[in-house]
Amino acid sequence: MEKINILVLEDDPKEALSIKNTLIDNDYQITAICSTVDEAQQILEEEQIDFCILDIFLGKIMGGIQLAEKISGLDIPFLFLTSSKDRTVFEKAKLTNPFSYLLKPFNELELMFTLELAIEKFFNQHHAFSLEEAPTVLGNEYLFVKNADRISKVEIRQISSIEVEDRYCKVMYNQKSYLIKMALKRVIEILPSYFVQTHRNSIVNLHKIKDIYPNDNLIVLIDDEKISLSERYKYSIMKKLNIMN
Amino acid sequence: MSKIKINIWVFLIYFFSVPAIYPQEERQVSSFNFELSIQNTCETSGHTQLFHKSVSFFLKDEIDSTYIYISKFLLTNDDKNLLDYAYYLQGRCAVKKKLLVQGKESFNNISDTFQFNQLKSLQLANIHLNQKEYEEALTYYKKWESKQLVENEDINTKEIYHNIGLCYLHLKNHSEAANYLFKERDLAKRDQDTLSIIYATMDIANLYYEQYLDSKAIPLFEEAYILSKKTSDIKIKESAALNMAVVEENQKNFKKSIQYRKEYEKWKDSIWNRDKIWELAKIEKKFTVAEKEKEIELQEKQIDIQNARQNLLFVGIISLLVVIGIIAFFLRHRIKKNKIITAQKDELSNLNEMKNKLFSIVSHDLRTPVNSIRNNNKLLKKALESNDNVQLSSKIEESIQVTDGVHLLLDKVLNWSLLESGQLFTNIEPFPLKPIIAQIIYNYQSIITSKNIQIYNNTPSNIIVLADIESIKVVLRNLLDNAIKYSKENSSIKFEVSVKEKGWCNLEVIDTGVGITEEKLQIITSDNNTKVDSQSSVSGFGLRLCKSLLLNNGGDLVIFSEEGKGTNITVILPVKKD
Repeated sequence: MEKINILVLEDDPKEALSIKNTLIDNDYQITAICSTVDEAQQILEEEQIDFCILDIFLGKIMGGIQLAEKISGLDIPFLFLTSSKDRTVFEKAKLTNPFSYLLKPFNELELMFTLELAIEKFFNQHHAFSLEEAPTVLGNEYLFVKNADRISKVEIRQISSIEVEDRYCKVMYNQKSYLIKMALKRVIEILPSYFVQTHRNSIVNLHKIKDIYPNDNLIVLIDDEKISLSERYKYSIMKKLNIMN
Repeated sequence: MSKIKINIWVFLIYFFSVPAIYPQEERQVSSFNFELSIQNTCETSGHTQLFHKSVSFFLKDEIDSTYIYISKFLLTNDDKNLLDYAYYLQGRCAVKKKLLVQGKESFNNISDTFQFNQLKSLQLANIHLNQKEYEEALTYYKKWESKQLVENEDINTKEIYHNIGLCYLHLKNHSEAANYLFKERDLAKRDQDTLSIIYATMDIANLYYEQYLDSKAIPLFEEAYILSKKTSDIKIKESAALNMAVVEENQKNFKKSIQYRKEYEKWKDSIWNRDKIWELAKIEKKFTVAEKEKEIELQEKQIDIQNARQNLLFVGIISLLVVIGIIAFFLRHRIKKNKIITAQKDELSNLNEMKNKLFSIVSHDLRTPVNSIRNNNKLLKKALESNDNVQLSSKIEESIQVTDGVHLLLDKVLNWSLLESGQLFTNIEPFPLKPIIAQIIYNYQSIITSKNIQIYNNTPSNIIVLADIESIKVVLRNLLDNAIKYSKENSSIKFEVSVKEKGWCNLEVIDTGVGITEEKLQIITSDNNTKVDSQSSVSGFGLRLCKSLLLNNGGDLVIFSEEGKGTNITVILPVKKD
């Protein structure tokens, strides 16, 4: 479990401080507070950033929208902050799809909620965090987990296996499990290629396999977890393992 | 050779003319007594209807009907006296239809005691003559002749004598033929029928001339020629002249012959002229017809021109009408536009008036809190100087509350102006309702605590509504602000959400506060959105704004309130469909 790294683009120091305090109170990591687009871009190149909070207006320049356009290819979710309700501004901001925004002034709950909403929308898993049983959003590199109103992330590389459990997918990570409300088929689509299907109901991280017992149709993982292997997927798994070794 | 040829030609004309003429003449002459007799028979005997009918048809000369009825009668009746009449009628009909064999049969069926036996003989004679059985014809003619003198005078004896003569001629009995032809001529002379005399004379002359009895023939030809001069019949004059020309030619009197020829030619020419005139008349007629046609054509052309003119006029009128129509349309359009402009002007002046009122309300509502902040600030300064920490904290809390109120007011004004000018940005998307309500409550936490009000957010977490988040926040903020403002201490406020219909949810904000008077409620809920009464408070304005915002989001707002008991405001919102 890691904290989420956030970049804040805000030119008003008081506002920036207020945002910083709110985020720290809610267990987020503030990587940087930038007051210009260039500065923010520099940070984005150097640091690992999970989320951006962008004030639309930096002085009179719509810096937030500029940066949003630049980071749209980086797979980083973001939200806009603005005190303006001017329609033309919104129409412009909305072109950076997906689009989440928060009007100033805002309270703690509003910021947290909008942040969650922005992550959900960005990974196209709407309202996932409002699910009581499985408040998780599966990103490309991290699994975002909401726990006691706090969002943290789990590195996908560290996930050992995923198994279907009722209407959910159970993610195994360091002896802990998280639920995702998503079909296994879609989970496979999102996950990197070193996750392979071993059975109708299970996916395994090839890097986490300790042993394979083809005769017993069994896979044993590094953490000694046992996963069943079906005939249908046996061949493709063996092949992939051979390539890797 | 030529002599004979000519004679025969002249003779034949007369010969063929006989059968064609005789039935008609014969009927006129011979039927008179017969008709009387047959009518008498009908009246006296009073016999069958068929006979009556056939007789009446016969008298009307309707041959076909007569024949049918008489044949029917013959099949059913055998009255001897009537039978003779019936056979006679049948025979007559057959002859008229040129059914000579059947006619002969019918006539032969007539008994010898028949009253009009000589008519029967005559009919049979004529039939035989027509069939070129001259000897049989002659016997019947003779039968007729033997009785004729005694009984009948008004039959066309001339005709019969001619026919008898004809028979003899064909039987080469020239003397007898001449005898009867002379008899015919005598009768014609008696009747002073010049034409008949001439024809008869010429016939006799031809008869003699054929036998080369020129001495007898020539005077007769001359006589005919002289007589022909008295008539006006050109045809007969021509024949007589030709005969004379032939006679003189044969006698080698060529001069005379030429004279006669010339005369003949003259008559022929006159006939030819007559024909020519006819022809000319015809051509003239044709010409006039052509002329007329030309005239008609001309008239038609004129009509065409007229039509073209009329069409031109018509097109002109239509285009004029179109132009008038277009002008009328634009005029109307303009009037409509003017109307719209007037309406817009009215609306604008209304809005302006409303804006002014709103400004007065807002400035009034702003003055009070700003004043109180100013006073508070003075007190804060004093408290700070006197180090009165209790006073300090309570005054700061008060100031925060007042500024919050002012902020809400400004927010309302901003939203209202954006909404009215169409500049309000609405980004309709699905979002969960429960956290939004929680966020709104969060802002009022301090005042809720100070008033000790219990707030219940009973919203199921699975309610996902479809709306613009910021608009809904403004609405909820206003509703909660009102609810807290009008709630007594230690009371409660509830947010209840229920899905009533498919696709819709009702969010009820329930308080147990002072409630809204009916009067005020009416002002708030009155249809006229833009009308703001100067007496109405800002809270009324807030509700009005809420309703407008919700309508803008496809929702609605309903207010239930009882004075002294509390208010229930229901927000209706569309929910996301799965």
